[in-house]
Amino acid sequence: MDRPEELEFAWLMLIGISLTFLLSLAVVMFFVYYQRRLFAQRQDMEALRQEEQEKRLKAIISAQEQERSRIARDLHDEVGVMLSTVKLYLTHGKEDTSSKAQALLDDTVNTVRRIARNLSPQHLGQFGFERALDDMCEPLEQSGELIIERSITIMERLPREQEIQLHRMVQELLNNTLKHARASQVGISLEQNGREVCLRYEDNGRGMDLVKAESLPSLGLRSLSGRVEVLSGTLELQSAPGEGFQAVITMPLMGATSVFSGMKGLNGDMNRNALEGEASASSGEGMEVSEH
Amino acid sequence: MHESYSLEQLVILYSIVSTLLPLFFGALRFRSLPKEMKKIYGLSLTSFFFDLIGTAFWLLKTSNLWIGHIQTLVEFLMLSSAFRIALSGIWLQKQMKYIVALFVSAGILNTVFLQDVHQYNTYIKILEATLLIGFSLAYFYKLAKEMKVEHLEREPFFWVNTGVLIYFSSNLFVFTYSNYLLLYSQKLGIRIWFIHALFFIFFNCILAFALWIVPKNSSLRG
Repeated sequence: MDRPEELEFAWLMLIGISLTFLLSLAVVMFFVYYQRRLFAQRQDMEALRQEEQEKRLKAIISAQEQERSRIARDLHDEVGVMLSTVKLYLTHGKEDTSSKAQALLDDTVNTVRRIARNLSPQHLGQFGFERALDDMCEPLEQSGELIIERSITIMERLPREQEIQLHRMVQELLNNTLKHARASQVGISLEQNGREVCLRYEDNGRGMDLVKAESLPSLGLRSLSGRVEVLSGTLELQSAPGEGFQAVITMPLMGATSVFSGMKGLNGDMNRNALEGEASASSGEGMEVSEH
Repeated sequence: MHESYSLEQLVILYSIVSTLLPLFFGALRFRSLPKEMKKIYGLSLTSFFFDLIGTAFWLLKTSNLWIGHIQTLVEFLMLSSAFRIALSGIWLQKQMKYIVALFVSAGILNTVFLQDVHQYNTYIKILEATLLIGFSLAYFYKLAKEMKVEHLEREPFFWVNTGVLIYFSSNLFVFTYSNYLLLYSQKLGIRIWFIHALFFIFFNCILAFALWIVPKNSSLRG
């Protein structure tokens, strides 16, 4: 191994072997490092997602608690007081107390009815989203301070769960407008694009800074966002101070069924007429939200 | 008998003993071995027998180059069948049977027309190493894509794959120039084959470790 060309060959071999060895070792080490980083990133994302989900869940629970407190307050402050007064009239009965007690009892019945309607929209299950939306909006419009334009262009009746969630979302958005926006006009539209449902909501109120709202979202917005997520939908908000507020909620249609599906032939038509009749008969009633 | 051999020659001679390590640990866990690890066990077994025959011929000072021609084909068949299982779910797996068929054909054609049994089958060794390096990188790609294995150090085939990548890429130069080594002094040849023997021992240790960490009842995973 003394020949110079042999020595040169030996060195070349040694360098080549060392380089390929180091290169393969580097590939393995890089992969291990890369894979660990990917897993760490995935865990971080998972933790973030879970945290976000917890926040939304808390918001929903909190909203439910608030709703319960409101019902308890309504029952205590209104129904309770009314019933106590009726009791007082009946206990220390004078001649004219009977008509006063009757009027109070009527008020009590109306108040209980309003509370019950707010709890579970009465016409939603029976007549669908559009009718329930009317029930919700009409009393607000009757106050004369708010005009609510509504446009519903869905051909099929949505599943009950989806209708309830949409109703709650509109309720949440309207609440937001009434509480903060000082708006005079609201637009609500629900449309169907293929297998998607799109709810648009806008008001001409004073708007808000969405960047601030995103860093410190209100309970209502969190609850809204949680509801949208539950339905695998997307929520887009658009607003700026002085420029009103706009929300676009898009979600997949959850196995929709036709309103009158299952009602075929003469019997079906009869049922349909009966339902339509009932709907028009009871359309005079309204939600008494504005009374509150 | 050993007095006439240098330390390097003794390492080359006894490197065959390292094959017993994966055989031992594989035998301990044999029932629990998943399919791909059973192929690796088969690789160690055939490698041991081929090396035993090769060593016997070396001691008898008879050419053992012809064994390499067969061993390369068997080695590639065993390793590619293990990779075929390990690479399940990626497009390369479906091409494996064609790659194996082409490789075996190329091996036979090389022995018949290019490098006969009195030479090292360097072309085929280079092809084998290149393909196995490719499989190894494909396995890393699969792991990164699927993200199923969180603790790589507990995954037996990860170690096999690492061993394959390091052993075959490090020895690529040895395989490429093994015929040229015959032109130089025996001393240089022994030095280079000594390095090869070190990598071979390292490879067997990694295979032994991979077989050892196979969890009991892991073959039930399917």
